[in-house]
Amino acid sequence: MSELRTNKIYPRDGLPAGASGGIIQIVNTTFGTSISGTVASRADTGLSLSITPTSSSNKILALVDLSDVAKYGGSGTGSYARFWLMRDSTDLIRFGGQIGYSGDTSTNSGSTVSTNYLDSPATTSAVTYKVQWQNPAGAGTIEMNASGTVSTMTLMEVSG
Amino acid sequence: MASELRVDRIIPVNGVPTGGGGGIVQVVQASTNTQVNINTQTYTDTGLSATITPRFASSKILVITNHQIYAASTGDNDFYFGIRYLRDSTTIFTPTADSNGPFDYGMQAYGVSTTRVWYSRCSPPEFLDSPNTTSAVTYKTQARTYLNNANVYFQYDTGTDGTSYITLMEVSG
Repeated sequence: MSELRTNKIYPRDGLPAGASGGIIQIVNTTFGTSISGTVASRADTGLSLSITPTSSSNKILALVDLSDVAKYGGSGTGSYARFWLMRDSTDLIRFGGQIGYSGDTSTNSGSTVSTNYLDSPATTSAVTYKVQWQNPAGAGTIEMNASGTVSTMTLMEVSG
Repeated sequence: MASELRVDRIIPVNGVPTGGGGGIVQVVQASTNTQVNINTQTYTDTGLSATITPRFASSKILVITNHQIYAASTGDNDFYFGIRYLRDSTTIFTPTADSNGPFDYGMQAYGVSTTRVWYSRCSPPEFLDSPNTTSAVTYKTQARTYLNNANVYFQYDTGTDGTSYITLMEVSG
């Protein structure tokens, strides 16, 4: 067995302009708790994961899959589920902009909601990536992992 | 102490697993925030593309995308749409479809029918391609609707919120 330990992986003759290098480490987590509520104010979903970059110039590629997202009851403007991917307290990307919006109070299934984001945290300290959600009008109920399914997050440290 | 590895290929000691790849040697990301409206059952460019030059013909390219989308029904029915991947002019990933078309994304509604909105980011499945070349190759996405009952806007919002991304990783093979 052989093992290679390094902080960065680059093509031998350097990186092409605008490109990053190889993957140094990967961490993954699953979140299988079924959650639901009116969630009028932004709140943590419970899906989160920490990583400690080995170099401050490295980047973090985050892959997120939220399972079985739905909204039922409530109607009209502001009655839907939306999500944010955050690094610690910083918003990185808003996704799931309006899941389940409709003009009536029927159940609206949004199935899996996914995103990915290449972040530059510029640190070698531990950073935590997490997902928050909200139903802005607080009308109706939003749900994630609705059928006992599992949401996931994967973080890859990319040589930068 | 920081260390740096400069290498053309990263291969497990016992070789590359069948159907898979070794380590990743370079990553390219591109983005667009130019709005594109697709309301047809014919696959149409979303405006998202990126180019990579593999270092070896044996390398594979892992394609990861993230589209910002606002889709709305134009009738009273459930509505769906799908996204496919192309390498240059070759289709490399096509979503599951029935006789009407793909139904990966969109909304199935229960109850009184009114206008439905599916406003989200979506990331179709990651795809591991074998371009078998060391020339530059361009990957892009196309989309179409399931029925003629939806307007699907890619890069709907302005600024960062309305930006779609494509990430290409060269995987040693």
